[in-house]
Amino acid sequence: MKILAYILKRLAISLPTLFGLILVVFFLSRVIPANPVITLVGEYASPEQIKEMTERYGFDKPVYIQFFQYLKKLSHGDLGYSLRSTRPVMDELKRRLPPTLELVIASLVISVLLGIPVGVIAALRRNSWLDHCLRAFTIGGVAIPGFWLGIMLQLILGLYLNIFPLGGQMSGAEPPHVTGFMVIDSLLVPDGKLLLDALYHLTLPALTLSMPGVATIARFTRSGFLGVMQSDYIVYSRSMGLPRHLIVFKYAFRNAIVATVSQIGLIMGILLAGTVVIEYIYFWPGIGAYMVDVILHFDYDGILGTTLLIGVAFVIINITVDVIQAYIDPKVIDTL
Amino acid sequence: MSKTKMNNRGISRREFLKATGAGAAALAFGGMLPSRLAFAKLVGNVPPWKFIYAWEENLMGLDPHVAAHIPPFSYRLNMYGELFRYQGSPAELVPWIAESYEASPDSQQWTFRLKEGLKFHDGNEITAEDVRFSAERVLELGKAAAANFKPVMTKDAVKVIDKYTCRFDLEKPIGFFISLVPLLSIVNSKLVRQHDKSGDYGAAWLANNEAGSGAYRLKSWDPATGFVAEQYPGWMHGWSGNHFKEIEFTTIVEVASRIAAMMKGDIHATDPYLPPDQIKKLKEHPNTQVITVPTLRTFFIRLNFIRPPTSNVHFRRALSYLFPYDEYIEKALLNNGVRSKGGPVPNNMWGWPKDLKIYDTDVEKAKAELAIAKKELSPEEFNRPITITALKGATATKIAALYLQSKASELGITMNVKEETFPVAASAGGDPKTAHDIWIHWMSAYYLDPDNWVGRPFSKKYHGSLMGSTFYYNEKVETLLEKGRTSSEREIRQNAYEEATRLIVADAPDIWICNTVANGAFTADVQGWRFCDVGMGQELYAMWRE
Repeated sequence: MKILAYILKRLAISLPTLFGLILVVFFLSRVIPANPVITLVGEYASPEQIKEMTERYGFDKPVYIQFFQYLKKLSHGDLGYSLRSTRPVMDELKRRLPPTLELVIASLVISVLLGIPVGVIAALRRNSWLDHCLRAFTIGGVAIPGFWLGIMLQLILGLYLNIFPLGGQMSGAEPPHVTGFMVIDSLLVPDGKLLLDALYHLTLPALTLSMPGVATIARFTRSGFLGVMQSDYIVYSRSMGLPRHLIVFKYAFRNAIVATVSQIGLIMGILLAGTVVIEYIYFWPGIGAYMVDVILHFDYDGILGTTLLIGVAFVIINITVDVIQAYIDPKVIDTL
Repeated sequence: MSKTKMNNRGISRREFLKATGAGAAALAFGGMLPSRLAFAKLVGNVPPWKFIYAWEENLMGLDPHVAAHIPPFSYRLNMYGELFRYQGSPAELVPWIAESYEASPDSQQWTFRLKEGLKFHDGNEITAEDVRFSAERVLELGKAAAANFKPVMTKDAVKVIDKYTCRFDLEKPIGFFISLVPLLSIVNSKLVRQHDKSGDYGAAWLANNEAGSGAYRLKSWDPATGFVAEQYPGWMHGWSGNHFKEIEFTTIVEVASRIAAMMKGDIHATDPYLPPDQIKKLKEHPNTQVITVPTLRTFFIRLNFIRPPTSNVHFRRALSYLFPYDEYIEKALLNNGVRSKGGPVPNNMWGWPKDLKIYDTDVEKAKAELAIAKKELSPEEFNRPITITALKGATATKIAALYLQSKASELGITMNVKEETFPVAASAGGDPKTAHDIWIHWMSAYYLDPDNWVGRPFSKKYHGSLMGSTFYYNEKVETLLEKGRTSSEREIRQNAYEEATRLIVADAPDIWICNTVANGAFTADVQGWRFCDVGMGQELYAMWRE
């Protein structure tokens, strides 16, 4: 019940947060001295045509009126229409959200599966040459820019060695779009060739995107483990002669990764932000690439739609992480 | 704690489990992963009957009456038809859906006779009503595709004379109207009307579908990636000879990724305006080819005509003499440009006098002009720091700005360089208060008439828009442009534009640097590319892969 109350409380708090987000982004996008109609009417438009379209789209009205009109639409679940494509923004987001989520989830899985063992090994082999190597790896993971790593992996593994595709979500044939996640949709068909194709396309982008996550999780896991391994109950267990694997995995692990789990929320944020660059390099048809496109063309409703979507995603991620944390360490519930 | 021995060779249980796990994993992966060769078949192995073209820009829809810039020509030229179409380079107007036209002596009425028996992809015959509906639609939607028609006709301008004849009644005489006709894609009126939603002229539907009569018909469309089109069996020119069965236009924003995809053969063509260093890479790679052709696209620096110090003609001339044209073309563009000889008019276009004196780099002349400007302007006006606006993402504009800044600083002129995205830069150019001191951009060929290059940028009618962003005005030029615009006599028009060009060059409102060259970037197996300035050679009907 405590957790449920906490979730409801967090959801209630998130509403004004999201409103503030919309408010700030709405006014910021209007403050920039660019008339989106220019993109719409092209470089040959006469002043009369520009004026006519500005009025048709209501951009001549005071900004606060435009804002209230947007809120009115939003209250009906309408995110508006893309200026450039004339399609509903909701449709644009629906098409692009699954590829981004697929990429982020795959990266998170890699981050966790790679980061936690690396952190554990580094902690158990503290100050050994292995620890130093892993430290260099984790520092590199944070420090190397995603666009550089992406292009390098693309050139080496995609072009020169021809092991992976350069980009895209599929080679050609696609499974019927049920979830929009190519891996899941291939499983639903089921078609092994399509599944392999989807996984191969996913590998390089997910690996590139996951590097900061791997590094962060490894560092936090290492630090958490070192702390726990020096605690009294572990020292006592050791003195009792309990097997090392029992101490590490049964007694230390759960307490050591509490801090790591709390980082996953942040990492999700990093991964979402990272998709902008990664989707560009690997021509991944997701939200990140779309977001850049709508920003560059001042597609107002597109900008607000993507911002709102990412805002909602952050709220959900943060609440989920808190709940997971409480599950791992029941003491956390008391602090909620 | 002692190890549990599993056998007499002393392998521990842990070691055994490790070995078993590793073996199982290896077997699993060995079975699952295709070999490198097998994998190469899985990706990047596009059959020769298919062609994939990658643009850096995301196609946001398929409606031919919405966008007018270069990438949308991908679907306009391949899935739609027009009354007349530009073909080749130098381009010729070729009858397409129409078989002939006739203009009234005053150039205000243009009558078109359509070919009989041509059909849209759904089997409906193309009639004069489709032309009328298309013209009405483009004007009612009022977007970029309407820009060339709005100033000359209303939505009711097209009259259906009979099933195969229609007449455009213009608001005023336009001598070059036939040059604008290829910009009107003819849509299937019956089909579009079926999908009209609250009087939107089928806009919501046509953004995701097609209603054309072109060589290819839509097979699939994904706003996030692009479209695939297949041969239309009823295509008017038939399918004998070599042609692609299927074409695909996709989006790869990152230039390095596009180049890698070309080298690997995942795509077969990309945009013809790649950065010079990337063109060099493609020229050197065995899997790719670059076909270089001169174009009518001009590249220039625009100078504010109404704000000092660039409001002073001598100051503008000084800057024109200062710019290191040859050095810039050779070193910055790696010779991917040809020095502009016709001032604002491209070298390969009529409408500029052959004895035109352009500004070559001459520092002494620049100093002399600057000395006069200094006398004519107040010290505050003369010494005001100038801002050059380059376009974000367009390196050529930034480098041109830096060249000008560097040369100007040698003569004591202070210039700052800033970068703006195109919408921001274009919006600022619409208002005299926010107009740039100096900014840099290209002028593409959308219709092949001198009016494209001088009629709009230097006419007062376009002040307040991107074209008129320098706020240039010269009464004599205005009169000459009107004469060139309205007359139907080629000789009168030519004289008018030549004289206007001479006056404009003397006023030096722009620094005309070069005509760009297009570098058609293809994989080595691609054949039959026919470049055309309008659409940048995206019509794929005549092409094939060996």
